[in-house]
Amino acid sequence: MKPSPSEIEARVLSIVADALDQPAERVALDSSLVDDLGAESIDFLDIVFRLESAFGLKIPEEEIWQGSFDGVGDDPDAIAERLAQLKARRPGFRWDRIPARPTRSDLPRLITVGTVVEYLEKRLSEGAASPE
Amino acid sequence: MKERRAVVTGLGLVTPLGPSLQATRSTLAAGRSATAPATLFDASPFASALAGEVRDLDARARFRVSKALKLCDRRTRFAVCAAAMALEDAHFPAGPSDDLGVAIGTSGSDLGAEELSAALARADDPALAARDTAAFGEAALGGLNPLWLLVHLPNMTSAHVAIQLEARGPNTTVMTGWAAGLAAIAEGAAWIVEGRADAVLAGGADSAVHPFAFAAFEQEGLLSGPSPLVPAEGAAVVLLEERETALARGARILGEVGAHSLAAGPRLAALAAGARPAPSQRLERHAGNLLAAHAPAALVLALVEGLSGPVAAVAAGPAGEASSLLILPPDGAARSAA
Repeated sequence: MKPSPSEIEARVLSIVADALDQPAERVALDSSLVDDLGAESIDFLDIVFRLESAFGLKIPEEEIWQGSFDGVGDDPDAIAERLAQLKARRPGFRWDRIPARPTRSDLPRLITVGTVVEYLEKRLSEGAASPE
Repeated sequence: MKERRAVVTGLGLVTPLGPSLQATRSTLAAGRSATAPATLFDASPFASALAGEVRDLDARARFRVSKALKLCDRRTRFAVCAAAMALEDAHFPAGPSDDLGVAIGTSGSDLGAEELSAALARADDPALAARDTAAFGEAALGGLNPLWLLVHLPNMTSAHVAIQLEARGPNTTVMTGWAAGLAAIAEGAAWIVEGRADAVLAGGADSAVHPFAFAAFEQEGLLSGPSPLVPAEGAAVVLLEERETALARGARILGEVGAHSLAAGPRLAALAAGARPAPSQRLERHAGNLLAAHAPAALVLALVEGLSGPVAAVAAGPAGEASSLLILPPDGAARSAA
């Protein structure tokens, strides 16, 4: 059975809190996994594994994080354009910590708990949630 | 240039008798035993289910970055805690240090037995996956958290001690079975004498309370007979420092690292002759056998009493591995005699 949007959100919040050893009250939809919750590269591996197990789907490497920046490559103008779109969608995010013209290496800092929830909602609504 | 000498300035201990040196000593002094049927897993199918388990250790309180706990198995948690205690005991200055090395000996990891069994149980044919490597790889490995490997890599014990305690000097994990803990102390002392580090956290850490260890011991016949082995767990870490550096910072010197041997035989016996033995058997009667951490733990218990003469710690394991180490009293008086 497909989980409801509020179930997805609750499960993601709890998975992220567990993986990054953070108290639940510190983990919000607008928390940056890197800047607010201290995630490092191995934590992303861990979180993807936990999401795959919890939601019964395979998540291609990096797909979850790159949705908003698909196909932009290293072009700073293209990145800036997508960033403007993202800003409009995410007013609660701490944009003051992100450089005005971010490079590709800044992009993981934009990944929030909400990014993960959005990705999963999209995947699960596509009916891709066939448990292994 | 003055000859560099390695001295002991701090002690840290985690055993089934207590989660600190003080707690271990008081339980030992009260004559209580910490061995009981294993609770960490169901050991009832084995010839003996007795184990010495560490209880009431607040590892989180000792971790600078608590997120790393998910990467640490029991032996690594014990090592981090015992190492932190040794630094504290020595009043070693806090903060990152390029001159602080780490050399911990361990006989191995529990390989995440619980996680492995859970992954196996999800296989289409668990029995086949349990005996066939290819089937195992297909069935189990895909179902394991990718961090599994990072938890069980042998060198992780010393790596996490370094990460949590910001010890940025040389780093090694010695894995010569039950002899590894003493060998690591000898290695750390050598680094100090050679000038590779001014201070080294050295000792042993192990956990034998898991099905793989029990199965191996049973196969070797160690769990039966008149005095069956009681597999236990824990860590014993000493802070070694270069003598002049230690004196300059006003550190209390508990003893000086003397000769050591990394093999059984006449040299080992000669080393120990005339020295008081560390209370290894007494520790084993009350706590079980801490494997690579056992001889270092006995050494710590001897050092905390204060040395009036040399003390010898000896480790000998079931594969014939052995190591022995002599610690001399701090004044250097017995140095030439030893």
